[in-house]
Amino acid sequence: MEREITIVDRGRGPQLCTSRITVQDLLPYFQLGYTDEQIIQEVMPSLSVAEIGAARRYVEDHREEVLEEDQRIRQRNAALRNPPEVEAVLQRAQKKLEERLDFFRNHRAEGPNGDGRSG
Amino acid sequence: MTGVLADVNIEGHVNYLMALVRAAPWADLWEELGVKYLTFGDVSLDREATDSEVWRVCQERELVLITGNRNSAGADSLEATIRVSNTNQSLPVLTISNTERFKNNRDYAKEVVVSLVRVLIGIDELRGTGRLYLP
Repeated sequence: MEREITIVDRGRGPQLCTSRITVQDLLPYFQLGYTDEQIIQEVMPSLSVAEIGAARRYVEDHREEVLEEDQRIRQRNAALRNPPEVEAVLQRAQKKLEERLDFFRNHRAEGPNGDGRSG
Repeated sequence: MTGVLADVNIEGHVNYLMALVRAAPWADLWEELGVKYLTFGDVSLDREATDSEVWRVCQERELVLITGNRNSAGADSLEATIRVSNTNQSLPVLTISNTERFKNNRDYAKEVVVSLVRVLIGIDELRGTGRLYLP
């Protein structure tokens, strides 16, 4: 017998009983008009149509509170930044990244025999 | 660090991200970094795994988790797990800041690629930093 798909709260907000995917994970794609098939193909390939349907029904039944939480999440996320000490590390990594990309670009331009041919 | 692990809530995005880093002009550098791409099935993680279980597997197997940014701030949230379990040797968790834009804007997707590669180049200096954002 197939397991009944319900929405539960395990401390991370409403989520599928069959997966760690939350209603709020799915909501933006509902809002963008994604079909169930698009969600499965492009976003969350582990989901089934039945699971997406359960989340859609939950949104319909709890629209106001789901949309309020969506606004809270969007406001919080808009303010998220990496701290300055992390940005300093990433700036140093950027220099190395550019050096390595230059190396591979030059290596390809020279070709394996150093004669400017690619192969 | 041995690889990146896609959370189930963002697996399609990470599939796309991996396609971008494996193509020009990133492919040679990506190969040099030697980073494996893994999904929950590859590491025997259940789709229902809690944040703390996912965190533990990532730290034990030296994997950087890429996850979504739509969680509520609950007792078993990823933030709570990081607060309790993070050490100065822990690998960070990566979050794509705007997943909707990542799918629909090629320039933004390129920024995410650059940001991911920068994090992986600097990964040993980024241990213990908790949660980081791409870009």
